Amino acid sequence: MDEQQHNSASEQAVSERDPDLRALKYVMLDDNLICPICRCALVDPCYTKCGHTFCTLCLFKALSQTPKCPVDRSSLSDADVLPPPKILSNMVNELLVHCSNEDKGCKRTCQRSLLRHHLLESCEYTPVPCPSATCDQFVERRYIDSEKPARCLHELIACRACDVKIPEIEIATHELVCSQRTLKCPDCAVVFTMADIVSHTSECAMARVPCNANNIGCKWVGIRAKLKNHESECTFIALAPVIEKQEDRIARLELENKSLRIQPSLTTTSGMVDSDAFHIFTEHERFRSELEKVSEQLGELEIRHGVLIMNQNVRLKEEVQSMRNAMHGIRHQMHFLLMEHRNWALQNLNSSMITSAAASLSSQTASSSNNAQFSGETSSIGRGTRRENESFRQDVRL
Amino acid sequence: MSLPKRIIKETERLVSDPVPGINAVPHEENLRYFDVTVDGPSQSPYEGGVFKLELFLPEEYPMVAPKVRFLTKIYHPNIDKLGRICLDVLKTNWSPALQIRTILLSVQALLGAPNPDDPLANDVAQRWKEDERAAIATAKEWTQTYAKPEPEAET
Repeated sequence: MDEQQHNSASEQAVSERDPDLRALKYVMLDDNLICPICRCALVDPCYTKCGHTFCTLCLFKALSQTPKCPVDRSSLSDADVLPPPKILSNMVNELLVHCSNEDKGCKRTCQRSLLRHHLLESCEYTPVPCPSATCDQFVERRYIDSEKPARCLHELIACRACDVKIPEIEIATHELVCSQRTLKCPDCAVVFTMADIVSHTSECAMARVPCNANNIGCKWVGIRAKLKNHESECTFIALAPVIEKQEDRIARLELENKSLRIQPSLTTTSGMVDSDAFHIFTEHERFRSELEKVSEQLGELEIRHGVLIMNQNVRLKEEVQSMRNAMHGIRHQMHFLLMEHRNWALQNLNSSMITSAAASLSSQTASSSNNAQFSGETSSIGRGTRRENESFRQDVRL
Repeated sequence: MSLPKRIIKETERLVSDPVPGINAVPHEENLRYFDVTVDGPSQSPYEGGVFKLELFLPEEYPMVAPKVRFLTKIYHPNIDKLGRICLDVLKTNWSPALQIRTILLSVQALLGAPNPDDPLANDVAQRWKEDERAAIATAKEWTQTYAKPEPEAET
């Protein structure tokens, strides 16, 4: 018996590790991603030469029965089954799913391809082996406290109320609902067991209750023991049956009124015209409701569109900003290089001036022509740098 | 043997989004067995009739076709005395991409378009070919006699 139980538990644990992708709850599922055979989101999709998509397993099962495409019946052999386009695999892998432990309490949603990892590594509700070395049962991960030393969570503990022995991890939930658990009534201080809770709360003489006519205006609230006493002199209670009858009548008349209003005042004309008018009227109503639906959808679409454009804008702005930053850096570098260049040119000029001065001392006859040459050099260097500068500025502007 | 996800999904959809004129409800004790009613298509001899059928999903479904049979007596060249139906999609042309709803729509369409050249009920088909007007009259008569809608369906 124990062994059997253990087997089923370990089977369960194994199945948690490889979630059945067809049994998952999808957050949203596009009809185009549904396999025509199993009617679930595509699992390990494949693609046929006639352009249809199936789960690989489903298609091969179908082909083993009839070698035809299940959708268009064109003949199909195993060789005509192709791997899916990358985009399709990505789309099905990225489908958002609810964790398969949702019924146990896990609120997580994630991409389908990441679910296995979530279950295996982080889901608090995945059964994992009991930390005790001697115990071969499983507990949900959330019960395991890695701070504390490993100990078995399946040891039987007696319930404080009913004395039944319950495994430790289940004791808390058991004690909440244990029929032998005793409670003390907050009104009359009588002690009763969980099993009697319903009968006691509906009978407790000390519980505060409103008058039965509170829906038609009686403000009296008091303990149940005095309710009878109050009702014998309450004026609202006496009126209750009359008011009830009136309300019933009003409701009936309102209903009748409504149905009369739907048929416009054409009852005097012939039945033919009457039914036509009625038909047109209902059509009109239908169109109006459809129009409302369409305008609602339009609004939704507009919002979605706006968000899309905004998203794109933000991205583009970011890109422009980063480009601008890069440009700025380049400008700084350029500036630095130009300064270097100019310094170097000036130094060159200075040294040549010194040598020329020496030369002019030695031969005064050639001094005028030499000076003209130097000034020409310096001016050509200046012009060159200016031109470079300008072309760079144009680049930046572009 | 647990019920495949596909059958559960199909059943849910049949209930939440029923096909007009077609009603299919699974048996409580066997979710592979459906009680079906199909309204006779308008402008056919079966107009105004409500036909009961049974539908069973075999173990291999959807790799093999569901088994469908008329329970209501019907005068039709492609449906025999036992209610068996001669319809390609239930036999050779079955495809796993077809569903309960599409199959029942095909059955309804067969009522609107009898095909005496591919008969199952030979006597009916013979009469249909020889004297179509009389055959249609008989079909109408049988519809009136055997396929009367139940009182609650009228309201």
